[in-house]
Amino acid sequence: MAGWIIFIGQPTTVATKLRMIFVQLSTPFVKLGDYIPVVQSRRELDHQNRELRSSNDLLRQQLRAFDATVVENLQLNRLLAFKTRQPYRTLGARVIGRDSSNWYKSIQIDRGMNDGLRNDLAVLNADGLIGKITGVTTGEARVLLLTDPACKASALLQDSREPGIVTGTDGAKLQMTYVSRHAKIRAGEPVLSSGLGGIFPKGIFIGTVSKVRLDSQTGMFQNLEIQPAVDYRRLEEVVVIVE
Amino acid sequence: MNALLVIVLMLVLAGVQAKLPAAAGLRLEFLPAIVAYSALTFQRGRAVLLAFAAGCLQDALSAGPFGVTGFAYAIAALVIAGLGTALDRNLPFIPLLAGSVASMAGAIGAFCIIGVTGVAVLKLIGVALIAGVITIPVFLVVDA
Repeated sequence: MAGWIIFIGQPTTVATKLRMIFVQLSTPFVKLGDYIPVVQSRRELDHQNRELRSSNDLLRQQLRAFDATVVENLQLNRLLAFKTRQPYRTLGARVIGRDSSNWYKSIQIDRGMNDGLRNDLAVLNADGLIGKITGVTTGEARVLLLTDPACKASALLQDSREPGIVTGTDGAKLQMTYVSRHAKIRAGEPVLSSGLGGIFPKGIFIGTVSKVRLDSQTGMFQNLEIQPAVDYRRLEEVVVIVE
Repeated sequence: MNALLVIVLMLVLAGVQAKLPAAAGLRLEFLPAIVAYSALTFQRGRAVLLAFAAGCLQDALSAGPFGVTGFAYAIAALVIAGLGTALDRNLPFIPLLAGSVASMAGAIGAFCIIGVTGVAVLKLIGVALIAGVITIPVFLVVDA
């Protein structure tokens, strides 16, 4: 059976000629079908259906654009409320690019030297600390994210008041090192910037403790895994602390 | 003319590369494809220059020190172009290999700055493979 199907499916000369004869025979009937009222109404319905589909697509696109505007409006309102709460002079900026390399973690923002930005200014959003500026041109700046191992922030555990250094890791989490081995730390404890170091102001939320373990190399400190407060993959608007 | 096209493509791809989000910690790299194409198509000097420009472009859109990737890509282009006479660029695995080599060179350049960890080595392999695969359609498009 399968052999026959394969044989019939072959484009042999006989098969091709037979197919042509069938097409020539059936074509007038196909054309005639257009004049039959039932088929006509079917064609009309098809036409209407196509038009309705395209108008439906348009409306869905408009609805999607509207939803995006509402979300953006909410984000901007949140950022504005956060900005007015801050005791520092701040500047809002939009994220215009990510790091093009696989080996560094940074973003590009649409504010630069012309807006008064310079290196080592702290960048944050309503969720918490994002990073610091490491490169500025006239119209844009590069922000090194706290998740990059090269970015370090002096930090403090909110409840136990234990100090340490927060840095990035190879993954999405942060780590807090140089925390005293005698400190009693619980998972879920908030981590804030300590204000030491002169770049990040005191009291900015960084994240929460997700794991506690003893430093296996020295045994003198505890290393904490920190769940960042900021979703670094979805940064759209940020605030730069100018003063 | 072809070199001009490569330059335009390089700029476009660099822009795209900086806009794309990372998936599972891996970001698509298009510029190694440009390095591989230049090295297997143009004379050595021109290929090295284009590769250097591609690396510098990547550095400009990254937090990495400027010039490191440019230098790494230039060396990769020098090596690939040096082997160019022995390689048949029309075989699909040659662009794949060349793209992967260029990507690895960029990664090694970055390792000189950030240091090497086990996770980073695994990432290097993943990134190089993806860059190699991307190189094949780039060859097809630019050649066409």
